[in-house]
Amino acid sequence: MIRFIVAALSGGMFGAGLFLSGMTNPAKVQGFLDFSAAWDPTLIFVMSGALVPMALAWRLAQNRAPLVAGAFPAPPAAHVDP
Amino acid sequence: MQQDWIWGLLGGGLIGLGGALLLLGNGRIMGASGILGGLIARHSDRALQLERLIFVAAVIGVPFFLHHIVQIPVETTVTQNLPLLLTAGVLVGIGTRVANGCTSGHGVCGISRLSVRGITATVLYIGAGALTVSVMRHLFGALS
Repeated sequence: MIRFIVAALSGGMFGAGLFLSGMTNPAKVQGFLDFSAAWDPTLIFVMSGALVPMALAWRLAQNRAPLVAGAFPAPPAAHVDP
Repeated sequence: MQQDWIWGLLGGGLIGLGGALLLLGNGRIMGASGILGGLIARHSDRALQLERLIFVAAVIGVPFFLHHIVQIPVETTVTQNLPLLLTAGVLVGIGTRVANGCTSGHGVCGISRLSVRGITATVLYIGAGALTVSVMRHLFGALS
């Protein structure tokens, strides 16, 4: 049961974060990808803001198991698939 | 808007917290395309499917609620061109499956653990996206 509440909270935060940062607006994402005219750097800030809690979470995930269910994913592959 | 970057940081922080919660709670990587694709995957157990369904419902439901009920004034301009939207959706679907992930999976979850694949994927899809937007906007005059 708790794992479903975790999924709902996580999805809700993801959705709210996308919305509040303006990333539900395709025009803003395109504004980031178009370097020519009035470049919109917002996506960089969104990415930076997201990387901080996520990097901490990976640290916290070391040497322990998930709080509710499942197992942590395997370490990332060291090579890039062709 | 002038404060766009503040909302970007705040919103990004929320996205990262959501990803951290899903990882530390359920041991899952918060990759939107992977979770969405998993909904139609065969051979996965019921609880996992329900977990994905709830996640996707929340990702869609919360912005809907904030936009239509709370009426937070965030500009969202989506093209009314239905064939264009459908084509874009199919292309995004194919692309994210071929690449094994998208902005949330490779970008947020991958880069934050210094995954070589995640970083490579992010650099490549940002580059490809920029190229596509340039070609569409400046050669065909679309999307504007």
